[in-house]
Amino acid sequence: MILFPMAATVRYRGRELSVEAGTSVKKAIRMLGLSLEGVIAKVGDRLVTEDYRLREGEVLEIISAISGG
Amino acid sequence: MRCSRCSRRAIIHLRSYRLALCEEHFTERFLKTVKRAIKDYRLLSKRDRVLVAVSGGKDSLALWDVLLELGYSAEGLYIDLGIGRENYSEISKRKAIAFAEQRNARLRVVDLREEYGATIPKLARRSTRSVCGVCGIVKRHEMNRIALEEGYTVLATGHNLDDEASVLLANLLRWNTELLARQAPRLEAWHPKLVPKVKPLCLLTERETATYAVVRGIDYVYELECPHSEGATSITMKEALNRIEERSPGTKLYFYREFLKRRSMFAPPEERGEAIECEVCGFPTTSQRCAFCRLVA
Repeated sequence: MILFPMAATVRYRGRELSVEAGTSVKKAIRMLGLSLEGVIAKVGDRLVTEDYRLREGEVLEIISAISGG
Repeated sequence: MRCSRCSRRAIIHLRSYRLALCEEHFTERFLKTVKRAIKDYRLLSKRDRVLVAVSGGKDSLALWDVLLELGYSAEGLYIDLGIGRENYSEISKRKAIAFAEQRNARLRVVDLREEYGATIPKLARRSTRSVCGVCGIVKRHEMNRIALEEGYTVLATGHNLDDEASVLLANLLRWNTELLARQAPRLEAWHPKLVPKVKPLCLLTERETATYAVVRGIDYVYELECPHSEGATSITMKEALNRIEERSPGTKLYFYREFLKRRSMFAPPEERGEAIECEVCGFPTTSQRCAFCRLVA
């Protein structure tokens, strides 16, 4: 895992990655290879839109909305 | 991003509508969309006794929540499929029970082990069908049985736009005209031992139902997927549709709604013939014993 001096954390299905503060939610979703249409994003208890930029120390949780079977 | 209606902080961006919405306006729009589906496709009336099939996931719990919110008489049914891997059924059941308790709503729990001494993985091992195929047969049979036995007038499931569009795509790719003819937001009961089925969330995407669940504080199973769903065709179809949707917002809804307008072109001639009743359970079938009774025999 790359550690940035001004970092935020992105969590998705047990995976965790460190990103630079200022990274947008859209970019984080793309980094995970996911579609914007298939996920929702939360910072703490708040839902955020794809243009939200992460601040230092914030944790972004990406939740898959796709269920199947 | 700001809400297009009130300029408060937006929680969702609906690219297909060029709309960003705050919690309040998103919830309002979500309820309106369900009401529109109910009205446009004549899904429910306020006189109905609705049985909601709940899995513990976002869609079925969101559906139950919306129907209660809209003033329908809606009770839940959870079928414990006995999927032990990753403790899936147990965790899902706990979520469904917790929701019912919070809303003070009645939840009926059916346990396959108690009823038939079987679980889905066990039944699948004795069958040539896939696990998902077996699970579908069991759920459809049990949902109908409980609805019929307990006098519900309609069975509601949490199928959303992504579910419907992905099934439509899969059936079109195989030109399965028989299944295309049967896909609809309301499936009528064509036999006295069948209960009509409705899909009130059919105009809402999975992203919208997940957002609604979070906004409403619904505790659903989201870190776990059914362990048998890995590699399921439906997920491949959904991912493909989401890629198209990103490039061309609104495609999923257009694809599904326009299909419903043209659905009659796939309708087979009225020749269902005289239904045979299963010699064990009495439900309509095409052979002596229905697929469910052959499975649990």
